[in-house]
Amino acid sequence: MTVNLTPDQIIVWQWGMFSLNATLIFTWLVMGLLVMGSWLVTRRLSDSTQLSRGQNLLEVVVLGISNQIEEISERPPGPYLPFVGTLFIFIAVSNLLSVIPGYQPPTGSLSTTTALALCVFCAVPLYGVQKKGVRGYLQQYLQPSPVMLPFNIIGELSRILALAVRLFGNVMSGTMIVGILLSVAPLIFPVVMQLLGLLTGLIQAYIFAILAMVFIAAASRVDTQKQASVSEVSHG
Amino acid sequence: MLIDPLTTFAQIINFLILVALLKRFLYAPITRVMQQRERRIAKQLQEAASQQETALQEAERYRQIQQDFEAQKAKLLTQARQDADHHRQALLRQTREEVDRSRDLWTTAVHREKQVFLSTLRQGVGQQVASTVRDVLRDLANTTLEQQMIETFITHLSHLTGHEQETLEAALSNARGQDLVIQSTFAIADADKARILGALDVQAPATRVDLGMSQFVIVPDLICGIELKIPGYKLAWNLAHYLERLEENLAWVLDGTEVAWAEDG
Repeated sequence: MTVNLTPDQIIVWQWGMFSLNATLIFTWLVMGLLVMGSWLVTRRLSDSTQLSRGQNLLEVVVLGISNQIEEISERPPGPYLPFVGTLFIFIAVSNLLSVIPGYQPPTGSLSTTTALALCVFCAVPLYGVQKKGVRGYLQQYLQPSPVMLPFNIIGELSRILALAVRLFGNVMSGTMIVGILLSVAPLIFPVVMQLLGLLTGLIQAYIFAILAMVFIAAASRVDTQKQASVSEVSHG
Repeated sequence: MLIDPLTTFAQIINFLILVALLKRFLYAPITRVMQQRERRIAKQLQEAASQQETALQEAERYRQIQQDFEAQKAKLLTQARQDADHHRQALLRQTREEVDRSRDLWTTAVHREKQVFLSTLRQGVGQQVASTVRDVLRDLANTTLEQQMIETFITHLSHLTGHEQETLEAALSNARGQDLVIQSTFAIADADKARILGALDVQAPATRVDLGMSQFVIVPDLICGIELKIPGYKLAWNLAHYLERLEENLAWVLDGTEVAWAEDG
């Protein structure tokens, strides 16, 4: 039995160095589902108390993500909601669809998780710079002393690496375990593992989004604390 | 190698596109709708609070109006009771006055009728008594009532007491001949007239009155009898005295009956 560690290895179409693998196809599938579902629901929105089921579900999801962002960042969730919310929704839906036979979750590809981690890696300084400027943001790498600069950079890279590998490892291992169990104990037990995989997938989506938000909020919180201290000094 | 650079790059692009699409089709409309709903609910709550405040004020105003109305009603009721009481007192007073007036009129009418009745009775009884006595005297004593009355009058005139005689003399001394009037219910014969004047002359010999000028007048109202009338003196010999006593007795009986009837009524 051939077991693919990543859907990248499933090549559907190739032209020269460009190849169309399962990761990209299922990513587009998930993207299409999300966008079409959102469009179908949000084209007829109601601001009354009588809601459709779809609108109710989307409002619960969006409101839940907004509340989580607000709790972590302690500021209005508006600027962070599209990025963090999309991280959670994309990863969650990608993982949940794994119950469908033949489906390969894009999050089981290290390329995908790396891409998402790189996005977070870029988003953190972008939000930080947006809040406090380039100089202010870069100065945090010199805190508490310039000696800590290499360690801060290593920490920044390592947490991005951990973010990518954690998600990839969990999703890939879940898929692998199910595949292995199908060959060892084809009845019942794989179903339980699939159900457990749903839970794991949701938890991983939650962890990934929350960690991304924590990283972004940490960069912004430094700025906030500094502004608060400057404000106290000026008023004192 | 597990990481495919092209796939990674494509996934970054895919993810950014997904962020943009979901921001356009999911987060923006959902957030907008939720904000609209929150604003609408907040507005409704504010309107509800405002309406509740208005309702409380209206309720307080109506409570005040009701209290004023109750006070006004009590005041009007008290005023109406007082007016009704005054009106009732006035009606009672007016009714009593009307009853008193009617009773006075009735009493006056009864008294007048009694007087008329007694007068009529007196006349009738007197005439009847005189007729009866006249018949009795004629049938049993072979004489007339008028003649006996003349005789008795002359006898009485001849036997006046001292005081009566002095009074007669005093009256005759101040009178003239035409002032002396002798009234009777019947015609007196000339002989009897002379006897009467003779008796007067005997009783008052010192008078200067010309007895020949005396007047003899027939008065049917006397019923039965003779009267000698001089200014300041009167000597009556008729049934009037008896009839007056009879009238008094009848009046007393009628008054007792009237009082008893009034007490019963």
